[in-house]
Amino acid sequence: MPEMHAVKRLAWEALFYAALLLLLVSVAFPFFWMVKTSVETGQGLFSYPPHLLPAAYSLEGYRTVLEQTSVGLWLWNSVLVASVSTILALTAGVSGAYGLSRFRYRGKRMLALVILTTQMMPPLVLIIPIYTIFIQLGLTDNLLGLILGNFAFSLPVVIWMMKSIFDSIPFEIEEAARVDGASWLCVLTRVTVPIALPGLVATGIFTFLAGWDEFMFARTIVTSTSKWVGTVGLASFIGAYVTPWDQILAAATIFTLPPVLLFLAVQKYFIAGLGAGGVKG
Amino acid sequence: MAGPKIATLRDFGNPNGSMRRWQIDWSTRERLVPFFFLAPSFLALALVSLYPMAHAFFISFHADGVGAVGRFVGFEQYQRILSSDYFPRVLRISVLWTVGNVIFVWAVGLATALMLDRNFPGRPLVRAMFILPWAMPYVAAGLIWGWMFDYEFGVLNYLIQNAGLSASKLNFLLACPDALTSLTAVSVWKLFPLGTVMFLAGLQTIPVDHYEAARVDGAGPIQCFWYVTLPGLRNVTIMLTLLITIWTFGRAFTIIFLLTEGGPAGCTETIVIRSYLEAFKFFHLGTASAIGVIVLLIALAFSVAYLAYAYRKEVGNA
Amino acid sequence: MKTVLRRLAVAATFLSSVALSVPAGAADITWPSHQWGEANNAPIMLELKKLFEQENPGNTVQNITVPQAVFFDKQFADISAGNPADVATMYDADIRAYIEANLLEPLDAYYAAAGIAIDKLIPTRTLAQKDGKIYGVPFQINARALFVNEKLLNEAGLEPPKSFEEFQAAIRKMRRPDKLQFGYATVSKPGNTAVAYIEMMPIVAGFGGGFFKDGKPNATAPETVAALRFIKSLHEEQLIPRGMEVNAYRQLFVEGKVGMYATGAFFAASVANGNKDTFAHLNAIPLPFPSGKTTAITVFLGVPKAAKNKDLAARLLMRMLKDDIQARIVTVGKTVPGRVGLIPASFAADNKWFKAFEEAALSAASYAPHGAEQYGAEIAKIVVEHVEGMLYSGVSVDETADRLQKALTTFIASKRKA
Repeated sequence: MPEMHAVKRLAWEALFYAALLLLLVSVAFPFFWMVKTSVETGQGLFSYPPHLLPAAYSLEGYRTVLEQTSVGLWLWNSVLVASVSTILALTAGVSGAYGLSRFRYRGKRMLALVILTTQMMPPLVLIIPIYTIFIQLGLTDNLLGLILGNFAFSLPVVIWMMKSIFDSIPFEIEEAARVDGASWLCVLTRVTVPIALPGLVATGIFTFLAGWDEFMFARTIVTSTSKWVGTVGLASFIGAYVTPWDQILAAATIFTLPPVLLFLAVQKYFIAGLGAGGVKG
Repeated sequence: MAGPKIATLRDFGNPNGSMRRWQIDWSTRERLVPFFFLAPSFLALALVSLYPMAHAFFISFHADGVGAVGRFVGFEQYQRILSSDYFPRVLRISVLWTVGNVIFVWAVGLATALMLDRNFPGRPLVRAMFILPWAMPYVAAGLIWGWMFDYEFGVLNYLIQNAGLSASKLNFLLACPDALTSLTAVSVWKLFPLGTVMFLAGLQTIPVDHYEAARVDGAGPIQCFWYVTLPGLRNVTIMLTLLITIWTFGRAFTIIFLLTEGGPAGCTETIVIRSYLEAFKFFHLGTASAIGVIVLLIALAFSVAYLAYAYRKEVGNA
Repeated sequence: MKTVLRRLAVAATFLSSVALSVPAGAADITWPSHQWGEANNAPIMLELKKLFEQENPGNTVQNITVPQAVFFDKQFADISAGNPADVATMYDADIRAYIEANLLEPLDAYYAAAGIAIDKLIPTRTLAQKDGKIYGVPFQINARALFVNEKLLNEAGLEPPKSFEEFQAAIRKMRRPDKLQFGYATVSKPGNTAVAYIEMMPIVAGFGGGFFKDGKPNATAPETVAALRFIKSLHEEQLIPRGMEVNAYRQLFVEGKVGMYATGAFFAASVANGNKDTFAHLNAIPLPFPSGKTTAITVFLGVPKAAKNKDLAARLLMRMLKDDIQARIVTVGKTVPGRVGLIPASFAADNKWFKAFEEAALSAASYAPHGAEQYGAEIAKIVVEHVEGMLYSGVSVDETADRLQKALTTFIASKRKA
């Protein structure tokens, strides 16, 4: 009976939206809580039951952070390190991925596995050897060292992601260009990359985030306060005696904003991104 | 008409499973081209990954010394670690942690992707919100989740008690195995957007006529999911599983460190946390390096076995 | 330019190793520390820097702020990579570990040249000594006494407790679940083992116990077991805030929600900065535990052997021990300095809570395991792990003590034979 069908469909729809709402709330709640706590007075944190909306608003945390700390400088350093290392990683990674995807030669599988292997050792164990090398190269306590470090850390993932994207792009168009006499580099830059652009953007965002979020390496390499990046700056609020919660959450909110905004700006590339070039059936 | 999928290692990543072979001109210059492409990556990795890994490997055969490498002791560090009290516990916790992460990132990521695949009003905004946890830095996430889990003042306990789901307050981080569950929840919250994005992309590549054919054969939504969607997402599943496994087994640190630092009573102490303690708290660089090598070997063995299994030749019947 | 300066510094260090009256070449002393970011310590250190630069023209002190959460790991990374700073900051267990690994420069000659008698330093200086030489300078000693919020005491109709029974009664009476108020606060969250150990030690020492005695595990001693039993009872009866990390329950005290808290004198500065009302009612008494003993953390400064400006750094540390800076450590830092008997009378009069700490500093033992201080970090982990089992996994006190004793015995045996 059609009415039964309609009711059944309505029930499923309702269930769908309910589940969606529930998931959405669970996902977004920590953000809401972070922002809410950062605009609440200090007492708010220690009151129970907790107020779901601030009983008293206070921008004291933000004021202190913006006036008394170099949060702007930290953010700028983070932007610099994350973006430059991303550009480097994408450049080297795209060409490396192309080398792994399009050619056949001995030891190719080995190479791919070696690249994956570099992700497998806990970075903590590697920090001190890397630090030692960087000291000898004079790369400590400057942003260049951080950029190079982040570049090399994110490289394996960029290669693997771009390789799988390239693998899913059929060779026909490139083949045609090759037959026309184009060099491999020309093919890569003029033909392949434009097709894979959404995937490239997605990988780029991913790499940017990794650089933005990086803490272990940054805290070891960097000494001067003028070279602090956001993660180190955030950690600096955790004091020996007390942690000013309104300040640290204000700083955390400020630190979360740039990647979130970047995300929202390019998110439409993402979805198409990682399956770019796939030819439908 | 979709035939049986035949996949080989050489074609992995290609969702259509076609057996293209690249036509390559085998002149010497051509043979060198891939290496030009690979050179910059390889140099960078050699410096920042391969050499330090070799160095860590080297230190692992020496005794622990503060500020300098100790004397050569062969496999003693490994023997000590493998026969120690903490190693089985730490390994078990790491495995539980990894398996929990992989399963739930896969499940939640897939569920979300399926939901977001449908068109509904406000979809772009909702889609963007689902990706937010990925954008939030680990340190910020650790801080706020730590507060939410707080026993005395945390909002989660408040909400749960108010919703009538529990009579007394929950010990999110104060009891085992609750602590590991809570930590896994935070980690999944942070990682599942990656799964969502990858699955969404994968869903686009499943040809629509596969679904048509299935429906013509009388398949309901569940059968469609099982026989069309899941197989079509196979490559994404494999890639995601591999990545998440390697990341959570050998790299996950910040969340656990900020919230429990391995406690209570060591029940959230993963092998990575242990390596941190050995290196930076106890000043045992040799031990920490040996642990690092053990982690690498386990991850490597898993990856090789997994990839071989996932891409083994299967012969279907046409 | 930097290499030239570095070579000059090396040459200068060589020449002036004994004849300390020879002025060194222009050098830049690196002093990274989390304390540059601490409101009570930074002014003292900055003043020291200024005076030193004035008295040693051409030389500068580089004050490098490092976040506290990062500092000790970074210091270790620097030393391990062969690139240590000129001044190292170490607590009790750290300095012993560094001394045992032969990483610090002996400072006896500098003490002699500066005319400072080593035996007039606070008792915990022995941690910096080995085989008749001294390898560090005590910057400040943070002995534990009991801070009390007199307003909360008065509300409950109590006097500051003088005996253990009064103390226990006070904890109970000031516990007001309706107001989310507690009588006492101590370690209550699994996690940072170093901090948990430090927070536990005043109680353990107060009972006269300790996890080590003369280098032997002491977990099953009646005093230690009594302390563990007390800690467990605080948790089970929910008399302390549970699941809060140390900075959080310290903040709770600052907000006036905790009646009593045992920690070092430095905390008064946090209270003063955090809540004027609480500070107005702040007082301190000796730890009211059965044995009357207390424990302390001493912040030591030392010079790594591989530092680039050893001589100058050592002289900087000696400058810190002069009367003027020592007085500042009291008046600004609000804590006890390295040399005994230099507390300005006016300060003691204006800050009634300080007296308890002054007395505690003279009698306190180090928080690090007695006779096994250099293994402090590992022992802390073993101890805290077992205590966490006692608190969060329901293991009984006696069972905990037994298991802990076994674990510590195995541990120390493995160290001795290595």
